Amino acid sequence: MGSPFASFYEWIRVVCFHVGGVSQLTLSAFVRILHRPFRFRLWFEQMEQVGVNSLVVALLTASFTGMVMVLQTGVQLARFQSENMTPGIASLALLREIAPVLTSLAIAARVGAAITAEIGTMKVTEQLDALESMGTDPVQYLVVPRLVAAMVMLPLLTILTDLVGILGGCLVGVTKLGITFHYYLDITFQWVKIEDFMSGVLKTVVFGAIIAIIGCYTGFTSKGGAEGVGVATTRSVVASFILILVSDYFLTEILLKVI
Amino acid sequence: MVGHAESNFLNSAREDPRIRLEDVHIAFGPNRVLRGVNLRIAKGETLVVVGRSGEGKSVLLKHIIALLRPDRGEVWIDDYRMDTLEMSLLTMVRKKVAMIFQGSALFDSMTVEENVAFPYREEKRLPKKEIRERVVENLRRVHLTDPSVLEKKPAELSGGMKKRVGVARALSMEPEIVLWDEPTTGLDPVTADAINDLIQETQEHTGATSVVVTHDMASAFKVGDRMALLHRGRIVYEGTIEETQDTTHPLMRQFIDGTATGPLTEEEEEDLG
Repeated sequence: MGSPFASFYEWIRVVCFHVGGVSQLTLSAFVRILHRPFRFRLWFEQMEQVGVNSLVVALLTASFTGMVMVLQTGVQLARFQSENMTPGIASLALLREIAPVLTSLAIAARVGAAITAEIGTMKVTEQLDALESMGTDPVQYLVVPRLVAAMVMLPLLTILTDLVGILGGCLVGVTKLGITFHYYLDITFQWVKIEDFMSGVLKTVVFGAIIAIIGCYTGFTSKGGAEGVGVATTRSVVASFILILVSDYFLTEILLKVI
Repeated sequence: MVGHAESNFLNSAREDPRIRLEDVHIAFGPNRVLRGVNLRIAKGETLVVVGRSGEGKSVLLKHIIALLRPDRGEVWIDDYRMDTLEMSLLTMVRKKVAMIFQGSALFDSMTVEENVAFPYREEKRLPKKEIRERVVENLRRVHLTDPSVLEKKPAELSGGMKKRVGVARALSMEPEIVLWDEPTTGLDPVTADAINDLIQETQEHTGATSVVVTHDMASAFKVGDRMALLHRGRIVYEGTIEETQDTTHPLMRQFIDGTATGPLTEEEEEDLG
């Protein structure tokens, strides 16, 4: 067999192996959410990690994104004397796409990487083996709390980033584009419907699951020492980014039909 | 002459083994690590498995507790076939088995107290106060009596202390079988001997069946009832400690004497040649 075919075959084999592994982990984690023991203490600890500790990163990302969105939109629309549409267009884009996706990417970089590094270190130092040898299910103990935390906290963070993003945009609209505060909010509420807000927030439930599952899976499959954990962490962030962006398109298609 | 107790273990291992490995094979890619391991371990005995580094001693140990599954062969604890056991039964059997890992494998996000209390907390049978009392008692058994150690994280402990905490955590499982993975590796001779004493004390305290994997012969002779040599993926020698001390088995003899030339290394040179 020629080497290009051999390497293509090997690539397909590796991709199938990981798709199978991720699917298996996803299924077993969701099954275990509903089964005892419910480790609520661990759930809340992870919620603090994913949500509370990510608040600053998420809010900074949202506020500056909201600001730059309004600045860019306002300047471009001014060329067509349509700057009065700026609050509506910017807020719609923010709620439907920008805030959920950027918040998820920021959380994937911060939390997904931390999950992989922690579980990967546990793997290479035999802590996972120790856990399993004591009769504790690593999926129940490690994956379920992270999955629940990410699926609950990412939508909550997104609600906050929606709000902060709009306020950041409003600040730029008022100070740089000469739009009044009341007009900005009036136009925003005229253009934005509850469906737009819901569509963005609902997507982040899926993005949260992606971040937690990919973070845990790459941690579980990391090999070697510190170098292996480093490689796994990079893979985790890259894979989460790609999956969030790809799934965003398909989720948008579905949600546009459903909501 | 073979000691009475050791001879009893030998008979018991043959007739009514607590742990049984039959024709166990495993390969990692092209690397065939175990190539037909047969081993029987009697109730209450301490079997020491020795062998050169990279021979698959830890792999063998992980098969006993089903952390690894063989490509071929069977692993039994009592009447449970570990390599095919369904999850709920496997969890039940695992709770009777404590493994002390080479690097201690303490949970580094937890304090010493939380590590040692972990098996009790997982069981959820005991009140908090009693768990703490048992943790203190188990740490006392491994000669860690300073109360400040309870609040320390594993990263703040020396290698010897980590091993002791690992043993204390194992004691919290109230195990019937204890698996020791290279218990003295990386420790200075004095601490290593203290760990050997600890293995003996644990054995006396729990009456458990023990499997110790090591290449430290001083440790092997001190703690074992019987010894087995793992070489090229198979058990090539088995004997009681007294038999082993005077053995003329060429592979075992070379391993005991620790000489660089002999049948153990000749085969390796042939492979390289």
